[in-house]
Amino acid sequence: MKIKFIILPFIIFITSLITRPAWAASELSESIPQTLRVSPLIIPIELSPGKTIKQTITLENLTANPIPIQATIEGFDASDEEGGYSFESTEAASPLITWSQVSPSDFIIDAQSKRQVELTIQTPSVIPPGGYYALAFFTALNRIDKARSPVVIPKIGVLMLGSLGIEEDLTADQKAQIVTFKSDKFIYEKSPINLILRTKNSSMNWFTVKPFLSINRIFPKKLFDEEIPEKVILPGKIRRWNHTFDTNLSPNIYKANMAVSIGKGEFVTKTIYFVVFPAKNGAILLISVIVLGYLFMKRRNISKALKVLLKG
Amino acid sequence: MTFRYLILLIFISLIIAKSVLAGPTSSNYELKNYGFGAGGSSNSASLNYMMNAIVGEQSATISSTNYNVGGGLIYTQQANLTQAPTFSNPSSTYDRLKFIINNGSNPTDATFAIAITDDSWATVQYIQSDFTPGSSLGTEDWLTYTGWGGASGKYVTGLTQDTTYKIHVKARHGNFTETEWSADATADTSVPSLTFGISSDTVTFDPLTSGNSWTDSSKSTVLTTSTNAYNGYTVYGHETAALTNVYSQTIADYASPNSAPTTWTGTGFGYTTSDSSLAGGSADRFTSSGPNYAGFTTSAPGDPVADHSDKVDESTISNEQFTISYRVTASENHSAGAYTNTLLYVVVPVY
Repeated sequence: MKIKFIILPFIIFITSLITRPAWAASELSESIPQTLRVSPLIIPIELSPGKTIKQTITLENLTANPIPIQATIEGFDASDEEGGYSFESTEAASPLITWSQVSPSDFIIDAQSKRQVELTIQTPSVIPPGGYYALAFFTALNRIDKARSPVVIPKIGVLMLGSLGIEEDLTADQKAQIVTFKSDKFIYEKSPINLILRTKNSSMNWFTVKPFLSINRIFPKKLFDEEIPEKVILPGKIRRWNHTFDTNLSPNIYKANMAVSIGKGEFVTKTIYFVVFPAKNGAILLISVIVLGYLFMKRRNISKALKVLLKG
Repeated sequence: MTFRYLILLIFISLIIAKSVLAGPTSSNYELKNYGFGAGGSSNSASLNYMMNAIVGEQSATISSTNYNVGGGLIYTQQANLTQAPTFSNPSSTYDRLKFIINNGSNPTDATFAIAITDDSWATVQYIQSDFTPGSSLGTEDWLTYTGWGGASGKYVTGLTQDTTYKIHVKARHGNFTETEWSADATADTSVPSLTFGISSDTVTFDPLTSGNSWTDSSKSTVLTTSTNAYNGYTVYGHETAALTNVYSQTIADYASPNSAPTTWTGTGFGYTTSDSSLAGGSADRFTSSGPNYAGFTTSAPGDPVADHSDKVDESTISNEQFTISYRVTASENHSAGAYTNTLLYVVVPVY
C-alpha cells in the first residue's frame, strides 16, 4: 500500500517531464519568421476643426503563426534634409498624437489572415491652420515571456500627413524658396556635373515638390530637360537633392535652370552658370596661340634675323 | 439665220453641260467635290479618310453618338482630333498614373491639352505643365507631343489614392484650330502598402567558450521588404538594452557608431549590414573593406540599417532583402549565463 502511494506520484512526475507544454519547448529552441503587410502606408488627412475623421487600416499576417500586435501613435519631426525621422512624442511637437487613436490597440492576427483596425482622429474645435503629422506604429509583440536569447521584433510605421487650411492667397515664392542651387565647381573639364538643390517650405502646410532641370548652352541653346525625383517638405523644413548628370558636354558656357514645382502648375525658379573647359588641353592650346601670335607680330624682325644668320 | 441657230445651240449646250457636270445641289448649297481616294475600309470607321458630307441617323441630324459634322470652313482647318490616350497604372502606384497621348498625325508643332477628372466630369481639372492637376488651362499647359513625353508618356502626379480617374485630350495647331475632346481613357490609383518580414524572432548564439574564443559571428536576421511607396523606405534598428543576464550583468555594445563602423576589435555586441547604399553617412561604410561593425543604440527609432531611396514608379519594390549579421565577443571574465535583450527593426516610408 505504501509503495503504491510512492510509485504513482513518481510516475506522474516523470510523465510531466516527458510531455512538457509545446510552447515551453518552442521557447527554448524554435524561432519563427514574422511577416506583416500594412495598408494604407501613407494617409493624407484634411483636418477640419471639431470634425472626426475615421480611416481603416488593414493588417495582414503572411506567416503560419498568429502574431500579437500593439498599435501606438507616435509623433515625429524631420531630423535632417534627407527625409530622416526624429521621433518626438510630445503634444507640443506633434499635437496630432493626442487627437488620434487606433482601435483596437492590442489584438492578435491569426495565421494567414487579415485584420482591420480603425484610426480615429478627433480634432479640437479650435486649432490653428497648418501641418500636423504623426506615425501609427504596429509592433509585433514578443511572444516569448522568458527568452533565453535576444529577441527580434518588427515594427511598421504608417505615415499620417495632416493639413488644415489651404493658403490660396500665397504666391509660389511665398510658399517655397530655393535656398541653394549650385554646382560643386564653376569650371569642369568634363562630366559628371554635380548639382546641389535645397528647397524650403515657408508655408504652414506640407506639400510635394518636383524639380525640373533644364540645361542650355549659351551658343547654341537648348540641350536637355530632366525631371528630378519629387519629395515631401514639411512646414518650415528644407529638403536637399544631390543630382549628378553624366551627359558628355562640349567646351562651352552652360546655363542650368531649376524650376521647382509645388503643384498646380506653380513654380519657383533659379538659374546658375557653369563652364566646361578642358583645362589641360586648353592650356596647351592657349599657350600655342600666344606663341604663334607673338611670332606673327615679330615676323619681320625674325625674318631679318634669319637672313643675317643664313647669309652672314 | 444659220448663225442664230448656232448661237442658240451653243447656249443650250452650255446650260445642259453645267447641269450634267454640277454636283448635288439644294436651293442654297452645292456639293462641289465628293470624290474619294483609294484605300481605306468601306465602313465609317476609317482612320485615314473623311468625307465632308452629311452623316447621322435617320432623324437627319448632323450628329450621333459617335459622329459629328462640323460646319464651315474653319472646321476643315482644325487640327486632327486625336484618339483616346493610353492611361494606366503599370506599377500599382497610389498618387500617380501614366498617360501616353496619341499624336493623331498632327504636325510636330501641334500642341495638346489634357483634362482630368475623378468624378466623371462633374468637376474638371487640367494637367498642368508640371504634370499635376490644376483648375485652369493656361497657354503654358498646351504642350507638344514631345512635351507630353512622346511615345514614352508621362506620369500625372499629385493624385488621390484608391481613386478612378479619366482623361481626354484635344489638339490645336495655330489660331482657331482647336479640336473637340477625344474619347476618355480611365485608370485607377492603388493604395500605398508595405510588407515587412524578419527571418526569425530570436537570435540564438552558440555557447561562448574558450573553444570559440568566446565569439559567435554566424547569426543574422534577414529583413525582407516590399512596397509601392514612391520614395522607398528606411529600416531603423535599435535595442532596448545591452545584452543582460538575470543578475543585471551586461555584455557592452560594440563601441563604433552606425555613422562610422569599423573592423571588429575587442569585445562587445555589434552588427553589420549588407546594405552597400545606406543613408546616414558614407553609403558603403559597412561593406567597403568590410564587414565593418557598429553597436546598437538604445534610442528610438535607432540608426538606419537598411533602406531603399530610389524612386518607385516604373516598378514596385518586391521582396528586397538585406541581412543584418551579428557578432558577440565576450571576455573570459564574463559571468556565465544567458544574456538577452530585444532588438527592434522599425520600417517607415521615406517622405
